[in-house]
Amino acid sequence: MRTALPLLALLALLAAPLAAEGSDTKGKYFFKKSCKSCHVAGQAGGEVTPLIKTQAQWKTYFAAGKHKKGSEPLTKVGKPEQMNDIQTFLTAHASDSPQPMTCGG
Amino acid sequence: MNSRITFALVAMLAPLALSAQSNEDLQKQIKQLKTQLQALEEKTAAVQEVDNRLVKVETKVAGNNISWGGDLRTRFDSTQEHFKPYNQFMGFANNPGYTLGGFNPANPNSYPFMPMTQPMASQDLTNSVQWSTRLRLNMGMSINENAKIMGRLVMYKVHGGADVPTFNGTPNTISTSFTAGQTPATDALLVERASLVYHFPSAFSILSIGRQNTSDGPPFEVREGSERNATPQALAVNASIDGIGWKFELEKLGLPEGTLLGFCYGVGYESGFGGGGAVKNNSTIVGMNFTGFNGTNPSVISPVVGSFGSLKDTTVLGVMFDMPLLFQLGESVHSANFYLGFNRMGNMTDIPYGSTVNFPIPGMTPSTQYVTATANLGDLDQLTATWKHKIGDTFTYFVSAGYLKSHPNGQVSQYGAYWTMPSALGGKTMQVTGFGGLMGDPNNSQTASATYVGVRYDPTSTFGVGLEFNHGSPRWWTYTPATGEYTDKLGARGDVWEAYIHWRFAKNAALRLGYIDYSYTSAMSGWQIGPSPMSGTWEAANDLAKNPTLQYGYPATVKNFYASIEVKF
Repeated sequence: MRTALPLLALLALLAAPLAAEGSDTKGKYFFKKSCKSCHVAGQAGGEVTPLIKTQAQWKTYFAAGKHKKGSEPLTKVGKPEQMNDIQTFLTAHASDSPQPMTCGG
Repeated sequence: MNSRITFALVAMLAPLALSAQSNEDLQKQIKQLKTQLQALEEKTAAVQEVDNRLVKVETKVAGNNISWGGDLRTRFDSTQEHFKPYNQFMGFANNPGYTLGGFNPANPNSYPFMPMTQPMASQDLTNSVQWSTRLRLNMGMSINENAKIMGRLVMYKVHGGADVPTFNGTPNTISTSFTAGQTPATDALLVERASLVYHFPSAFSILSIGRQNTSDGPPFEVREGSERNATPQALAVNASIDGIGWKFELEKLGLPEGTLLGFCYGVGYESGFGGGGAVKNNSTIVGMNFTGFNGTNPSVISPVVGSFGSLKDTTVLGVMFDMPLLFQLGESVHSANFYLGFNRMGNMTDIPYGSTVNFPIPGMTPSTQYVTATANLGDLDQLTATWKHKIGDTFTYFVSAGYLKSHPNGQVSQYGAYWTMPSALGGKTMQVTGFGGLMGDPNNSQTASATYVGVRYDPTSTFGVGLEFNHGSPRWWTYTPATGEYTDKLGARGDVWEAYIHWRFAKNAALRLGYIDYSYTSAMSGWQIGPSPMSGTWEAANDLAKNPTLQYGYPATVKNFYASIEVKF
């Protein structure tokens, strides 16, 4: 037990997240549910995918918190925690991310 | 009077005073305007500078339509291999026990010649320190809104001068185009992927042609902690395949978004071009065929040097179904994938064209040798299914299963030695040693199966632990020489356990610690071919626990500890 405690402490330290992040999986789900109803090719909102912006551009977009070309706040689209999840998903698969969304071959 | 004079004076001087005040204000306003103008000019200059820079950036971006990404992995491996006793095949000698009379294939004394063997004691080999570095550069080139070229260049080598794999009896130690970039080689950049991907929105389909994304497919991404890397399931194919694929987007028919039905055609061996064609035109000693045997008179037996004539191309016709699911149950979001794949591999050859190093032929100086296909052995049907399920961001599990059925054509590899029996004795080919026929039986259809399961737990977004297990039956084979592992994990005939820790200690940088335990039951893991036994069952003749007669030694157990730093960019 004595040896287990430092080991658990080490694991907890290792497991500490780098920053407060949302959920990638939830973000993908909420993005498809909330955003893709309008943001597809041919629709008024135009096609939006994670690839249309870089990580920094997505960060700037969510920091501004504006939607519909600034005419309404992003919070009208979904709850703040959902927006955080969507931001996590979009940033994790942005055009300059290590895992850009592709068709998978 | 005085008041009048005073009033008149005030009246006369007032405009002057007001004028003086107006001038002062005007001066102030002019000064302010000048200041504003100066600020505006500065801003305009700044905007102009930004505009100039933007033009430069836009010009550069427009001219540079290649986007790059990739990863660098530096890995440490420490490995122990244990070999059980076996009989090393050395050649042939007259059979002193040979008896004239009726021929019985199961009776070793029916053969005029017998294999010479020497007993090999159990051995333990240790490679306690091995470093390797792998650099992968992913390329994406947009041609137009529907077309792009996808590519990957890879350098993967072991530290030090051992820049070519040493042939150790397993197929992943032969340098071929299927393993380019996936097994340690030289410091050269090799092309692992290069394909044109064309999206036809009106036909709801995607065309892919070229060197395909066929390595590290699902569910390998669970262990890697990454996105899905390729279309074929890892248990079916993990090699670089050249071919063409056509996928239909079934979401247009109401199925879940991202659902695909794909058809593919690939070439595994081109018989009329390149090294394979050049080598096959020469009579090369690759084996020995005993013909003319009538079962009663050994003097009529004639040994013939193995040679190979025209071969058919090896082709692969495949169908795959890929259905991703994304749904919410309570507060938890679930992400799942179901994959189903079928491949018909036609005109399978014994060995692909490639180079081997330190080919262990007794009495000869080790050197690079070029090998090539010597025979078409028949067809193989391969069926694979995988279910992967991620619950929230923390827990992922997968189950994968594979099934294989052979359709041999009676031919065997020219590498080795065999008997061609006259029709009076059945007319079949009897393998003595060497690579043999399809799935170890050139005459009868054989089956094999495998399972692959795994779990991964990610308590946070930066830390994950995982456990995987796979099992292959004694004749199991899958074309997965390019797994990037010390040995071919999913091609193992036996059991393999793997446990790992994956810790992302900084943005885009991770440490991985793992342990893989291989326990083989049968010889020739990784091969789709194998010799037939002269007597007894095939399973017993290839059982590593029963002193089998083998041309090469195969480890019974492999214990591999690894640690790697992985950086993505």
